[in-house]
This record gives sequence, structure tokens and C-alpha cells, in this order.
Amino acid sequence: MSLFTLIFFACLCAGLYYLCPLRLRWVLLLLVSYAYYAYCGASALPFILITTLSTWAGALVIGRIGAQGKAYIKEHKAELSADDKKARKEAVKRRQRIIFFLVLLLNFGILAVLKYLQPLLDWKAALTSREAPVLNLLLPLGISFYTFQSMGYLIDVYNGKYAPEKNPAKFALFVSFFPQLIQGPIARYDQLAPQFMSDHRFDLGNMERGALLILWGFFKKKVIADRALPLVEEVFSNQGAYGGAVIAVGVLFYSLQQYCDFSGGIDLVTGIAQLFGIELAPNFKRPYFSVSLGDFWRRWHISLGAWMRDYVFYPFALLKPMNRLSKAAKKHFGTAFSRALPAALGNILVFFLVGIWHGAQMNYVLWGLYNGLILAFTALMEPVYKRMNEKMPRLTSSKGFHVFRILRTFLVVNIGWYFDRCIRASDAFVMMQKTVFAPQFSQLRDGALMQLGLSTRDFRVLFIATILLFVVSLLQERGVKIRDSVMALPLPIRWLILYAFLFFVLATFGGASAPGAGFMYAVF
Amino acid sequence: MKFPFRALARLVVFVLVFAAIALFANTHFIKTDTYAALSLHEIKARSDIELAFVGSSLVRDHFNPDIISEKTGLQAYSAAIPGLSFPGFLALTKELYRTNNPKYTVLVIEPEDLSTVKEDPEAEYKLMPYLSDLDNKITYYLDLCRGDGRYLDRFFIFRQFGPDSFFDLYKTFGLRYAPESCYKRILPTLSSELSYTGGGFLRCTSPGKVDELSRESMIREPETGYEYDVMDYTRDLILRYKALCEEKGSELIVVFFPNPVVHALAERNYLPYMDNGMKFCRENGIPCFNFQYMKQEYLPILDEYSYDLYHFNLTGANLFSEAFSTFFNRYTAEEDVSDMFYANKWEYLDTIHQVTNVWMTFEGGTVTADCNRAPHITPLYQFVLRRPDGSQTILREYSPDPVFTPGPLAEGDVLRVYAKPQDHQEIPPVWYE
Repeated sequence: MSLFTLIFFACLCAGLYYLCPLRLRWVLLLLVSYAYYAYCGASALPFILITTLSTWAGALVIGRIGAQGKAYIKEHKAELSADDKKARKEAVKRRQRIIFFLVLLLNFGILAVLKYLQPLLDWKAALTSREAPVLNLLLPLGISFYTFQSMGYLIDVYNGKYAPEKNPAKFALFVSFFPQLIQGPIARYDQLAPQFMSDHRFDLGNMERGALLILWGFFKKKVIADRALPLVEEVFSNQGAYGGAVIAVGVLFYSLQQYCDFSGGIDLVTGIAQLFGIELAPNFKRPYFSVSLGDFWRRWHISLGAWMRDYVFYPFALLKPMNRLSKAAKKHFGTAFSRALPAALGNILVFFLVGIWHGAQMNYVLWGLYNGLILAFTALMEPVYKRMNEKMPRLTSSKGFHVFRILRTFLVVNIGWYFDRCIRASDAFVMMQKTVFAPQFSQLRDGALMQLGLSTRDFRVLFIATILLFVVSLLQERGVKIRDSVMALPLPIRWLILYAFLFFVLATFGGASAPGAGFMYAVF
Repeated sequence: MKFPFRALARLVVFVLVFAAIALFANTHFIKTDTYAALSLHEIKARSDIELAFVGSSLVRDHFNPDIISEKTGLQAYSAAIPGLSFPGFLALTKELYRTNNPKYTVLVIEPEDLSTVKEDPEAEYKLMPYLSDLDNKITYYLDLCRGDGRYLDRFFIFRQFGPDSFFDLYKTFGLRYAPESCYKRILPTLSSELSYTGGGFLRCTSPGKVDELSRESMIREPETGYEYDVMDYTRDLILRYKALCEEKGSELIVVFFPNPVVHALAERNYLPYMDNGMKFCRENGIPCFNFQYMKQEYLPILDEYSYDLYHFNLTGANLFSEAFSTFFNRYTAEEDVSDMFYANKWEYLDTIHQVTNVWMTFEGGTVTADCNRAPHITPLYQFVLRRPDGSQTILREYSPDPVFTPGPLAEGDVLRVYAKPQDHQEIPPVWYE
């Protein structure tokens, strides 16, 4: 479904939504979500249905086992000793765990087979110099997103965070809510599901806010990301033809293109959800203003980071073996190191998994490990940084140092993008080597830049649009709520701004789209 | 729930203002075709047009109104926009009829107009800004979109044809509000081979180069098996055009414009569409004439006057205008004009003795030559070796066999093939390398 069709579809659905009786609105949302998914590829429907039904049923069984266990203990409180109660609880947990792992295995198994089997076969074939069999496996739209979202729900129910949903249709809506199907954000059940049942009255202000966000997302995606894409494609697919300076330009464009593609898409779907009165969790918070890599990952793809933090990092860091390792480290390396060690190892694991989440290719694994290792190193060096801050408070609290930290983080992130974007990991090393040792600055002046798939007009539009994006982001970073400020203006001025921006976007959007519903992350 | 009237009313106002701004942008924040702007201004300013030619660049470049007016005694005008097709013909004719009451309307078409009728968006940006009536604009827009479904692209035409520079903006505003003085000022920036002479006619003094272009680009299209019938959408537009002329009291004549012979030999759809178009027009009582079939004694060989594969230069245009005037005078005098045209495509093809262009395909070490020619022609092929200094060695003399194995070529040497008709060896050969 093209972006225009998606927006048109969303507006149509929003109209129907407010015409629909309140108690049936969630049913309408479910129907249109499935209609949307079927339109994008009916053959993918069985997969989302399997995930939905297995997770719903698994969570329900886990909940029932827990409830029955509790009821039994309550009923036989007087007859049971403390040991009996403990044994009973353990038995209940054991039964829950079996169901829990079965559902996890089924769903992550589907994801693994569909997403990783072919790359693994390709890998094996490359190692053995044989031809890999072509499986032609279908990769359902947004499978990583809805699988992670569903498994997050299952884990929460297993941990007793909330009771399982009894109505399969309501749970199906949580999994399939169409705006977030394409590329997230990965929502939490207790945050999203209650909103489907809330009484959303038609609110023009809310609609306007949603429309503004849709327009802003469209601007980021179609004016910036899609326009920059040809240059990125050219540099990364034909890197042998270019010196390091052009490659660095390509990487910078990639960081712009990727950010605008992903965050633009998130703005767009958040805006669409707002048309229905539903607030999606934020997924971006101006990541290129981050002062450290850790800060960056708290601002970039926030919902995935939070998922990894809650369901991988903490459970891993709190494992008994980690506790023992920490104690052992304390003896040899001191308290500070031993405290940081579980976090450091947790970061390596998390980013290894984040890398694999992006794909089974070696470049993603290296990209994940690169981030994980830097974060692990930072965690271990934390006491040193702390002492430095204490010794040079004027320097470290100065604006100049703040800007330095932003630029340093930007550089670190961009080095990571070499791995992220190169299809072959070896290309990433070659490109980095060229960037440092063979820049060939003359290519920046001899017209090579104009041969990268962008015209002078494209460069001009990108320049103006990026400045606009930067100014808006800077204001937001300083706490200015742009949409609120615009909404607070008198109507004629508000419309004037809106028309000006609308026509700027209309006049300038263009370029090629990434595959998969036009969004890069739709194929993850 | 209270129905949100206020919100809806505000939304409607917002959309209407938005549409108004889009219309303004579509007329002022776009590039402008100089000659289209001049011609449309002249149409609006005139009310004396008696013989109107309507069409695409085929009209603009070929129907010299000075010659035709002189020969027919009627005030002629060439109303044309390059790339225009039936939706645009209707819109342009409505604009012309606002201030003029032509006795005759001559609609000039080509085979492409009868197929998918996907009018080039280039034509829309040139014509739409100059249409006076909103009703005409909307009908034109809807007709276009019905043809190709590009509702958004065509609504926001300024997107595709937005100004690239301040000069573009200057030209748009200048040609809109002070066309003559603006034209004088921008004249030095325009091609010296083209000049607007009034009456909608564009003089082109480029030399003919159709042989070079056809050598480079025209090979025979493979058989498609497709039935080249006039599409329903086109039929509807033709009938609406007829109704428009009848409403105005103007006599409609449909003319198929003759293109260089190479089209007739290379394009599978070229002659069949013309034949089916003629058939449809006649069935519906529309006088229709195919000038591709005009006999050579009336319209001499025109290929040498073509500056590209579709258009004649001034010499060709003047010859054509004279031939048309002769035809028109006889037709309006109710004489039988059938003797001026070949009866059908076979009769026409029988008169084409030349090979229009030749080409080669390579497979392994073997070369197979092929050429465009009429069915009754047997081609002869000669293969020569051309050296970098221009000297030639004949590798194989003229023969009907198109297959040849040249052996390895030295660096810088090229293989050239000549082709000529077996029964008309006096015609100079064509070549390809």
C-alpha cells in the first residue's frame, strides 16, 4: 500500500470511526486493521493469526493456571504448611513456564524460520562454496514488530504484571492495530489496549494535531528520506568507484535518510493513531542530539530499546550466574568494575540481539557488537568519567563540551552506520579504510557529487528541508512544543503556516522509495 | 453525540482555500512554454478565425496560416499545444470557441491519439493555466485523469513543472501579463531556428535529419497480435468533440497527419489505427482524411523536410500547407477528393520503393541484417569494413542474404551494412554500423 493510499485509508477509517457507535468502534478498528493487512498481502494473514491466537491462548492458560493456584492456596490456607504453599507455587510456576516457553518457541521459531533460515543457508553455502537452495519464504509485513509486541505481552502476563485478555478479538486488535503494523512502535499491552476501549469523542483539535504530525512525518519521509535515497544507494552499491570523502558524504546522507525514513514513518503512524484518539508510545526523541551512545539508544527506536531493556537486559543482568561473576570480579578488579560488569555484558548481549533483529547478515551482527562493545566499555569506564566531571566541572558543564559530546556521539553512530548499510561486512571495512586513508577530496570538487543520482534541485531541496528539520528539532530539544505552539496561534496565522508548509511539501516531495511499503523498517 | 458541524465546516473551508491556492500555484508557480503562451493569448484576443486547426505540435509546426488563408480565402489559425491529445483538443477548442465562430474546425490527429490517449502531462501544464472557464478546467482535468488515473499528479501539476529558476518565474508572469513585451525580451534566450510568426504557427528552419534519426532509433516493432481498434474512451471523446462542433455550428473535418514513411513501415499500429480511426469517423458521419495516403503528386516526398521523426521544417510545412489548401478548396467546393488519396494501405505501401533504414543484430560471430521496407520490396545487403581513417573495404557484395560472418575486427574498425531495394537500385542505399 502506498503512502498516499495509507493516508487516504486512515482518513476514511477515521471518518467511519466517529460515525460508528461507541461500543463497536474497537470492532471497526479490528476489521479495518485486518483489511489493511490483507490488502498488503493476504498470504501473510495466517502468520499474524497464529501469533495472535497462540499468544492469546498461551497467556490465558498461564493466567488460569496462576489463578487456580492462588485460589487453591487461598481455599486451603489453613491446611497448607509454608513448605506446601511454596511447593504448590513452584508447581504452578513450572506449569506456567512450560506453556510460556512453548508459546515463545513457536512465535520466535516462526520469526526465525521466515527471517533467518534463508540467510543461514546462504551463509553455509558461501562457506562450503555450494549453491544455496532458494526457499522463497514469505516475510510477513511487520512480523518482527508484532512478534515482539505479542511476546512482551506474554512475558508480562507470565510475570503477573497484569491479567490476560479474555477476548481474543480485543487481543487481536492489540496485535494488529494497523498504523503500527508497518514499523512499530512496539507497544505495551497495558499502555495501548485500554485506549481501544476508551470513549473517544470527535475532537477537532486532536484531529488537527494528528494531521500536523502526519504532514510532518510525510515531509521527513518523502521530502528528505526518499530524495536522499538515490545518493545512498549509489555510494553504498558502487563504493569502489568513490574515494573516502564521497563515501563519508554517502554515510552522512544515510544517517539523514535512515532517520527521516524511520522517524518520519513513526510520526506518520502516530498521527494516524491520533486521528482515532489513540496515543502511541514515542519511538524517537531527536537522537542526533544525544551526548553519548547510551543516550542515543534511549532516543532512537525507543520501544525496541525498552523491550530489550525490560525483557532481555534486566533478566540477564539479574541472573544468578551474573551475580556470581560480579562477586568474583569484585575480588580482582574492585567494586566499581564488578557493579558495571553485568551491565556491560548485558549491553553486549542486547546489541548482539538487536543486530540479529535487523537481519542474519554478518554486517548487522558486527553493527550490533560494535554498539554493544562501546556501551560495555562506557559502562566499565563510568567511574573514570565521573572523576573527570568532578575534577573539571567548568569544562564538562560548558556548552562547548556539550556540543563536543553531541558531535562525538554523532561520529560514533556514523561509524556504526558503515556496518549497518553495507550488505557485505568486508565492504564496510574497505569503506572505512578509504574514508580515513584515501579521502580523494578532489572528488568533492570535480563534479562527482553530481553523478550520485541527485540533481542540483535535489541538493537544494535537501538543504532547505534539513535546515528546517534541524531548527524544529533544536526547538523541540529546548522544550518548545511545536505542535502546541502552532495550535495556539490565531486561526488565520495557523492556516497560513499550514498552507505554506503543505505546499512546500507538495512541491518538493519525490525520489525513490525503499522496498516494503516504502519504509525501510517495514522489511525488518 | 452532537454532530460536529462546526468542525466539518472548517474542514470544508480549509479544503476550498487549499484548492484555490493549488489552482494559483498551477498557473503562476510553474514553467511556461513560450510559444503555447503566445498562441493562447492570440486565441483569446482574436474573434475573426474562420478556419481553425486544432491539434498538437503537428498543427503548430505544419499548418502555416498565412499560406492557407491566402489560398483558401478564410482566416486560418493553428491552435496547438505540443503533446496534446483528445482531452486537450476538447478543452482548447472550447477556449477557441469562446471568442471565435470558425466556419470549419479541422482536428488534426495521429495514430497515438486513438490508442491509450494518455495525454502527456507536459501538454497539461502548457494549456491548463490559460483556460478561462473553471468548468472547462475541471472537465479537462477529469478527462485526463479518466485516461491515466493520475489524479494527484495532475491536480498538483506545479510539482512536476515547478520553476527551476527566477528566470522561469519571470517568464511565467511576463508571458501571462505582458506576453508581447516579454517575448521580445526573452527572444535572445530562445533557439534561433524557431520563431513565432502569429496565427499559432511556429517557423522552424532546422535542416532535415530524419535519415540520421531513423538510423539511430527506428527498428521494426515485433508483431503484437493486438487488434488496433479505437478504444471506447477515445470513441467517447471523438463523439463529444463532434457534438461540441455541432453545438457551435462549425463543420468538423478530421485529418490524419502524415509522418515520415519510416513510421508506416516500422510501427505495427501506425496504419491500422489510422484505418480504424477513419472507419469510426465515417460510421459517425465525421468527414475524415488520411494525409499519410495522399498521393505524391499532391504532397511530394516529405522525409527530407523532416527535422525529426515527427515534424517538418519550414520548407516541408509550407509544402504541406499548400497541399492542404488544394485539398480544402476542392473539398469545400464539394468536389470528389478521393483521387488525391490512395484507397487503402496496400495501395499506399505499393508506392513505397525505398528501404527506410537498416540495422544489425549480433549473435556469436554472426551478423544478421534487417531493414524497414514495404512488403513487396526485396532488400539487398552489402557488408563493408570501415577503418578509422574512413576508408572502406567491401567484405561482401550486395546480396538478399541478411546473414554474414565477418570474422574478428581490428581495433578501431567497424562493420557497416548497406541496404537497398532489389528492384529500385537507383535509390541511394541506407546504412548502419
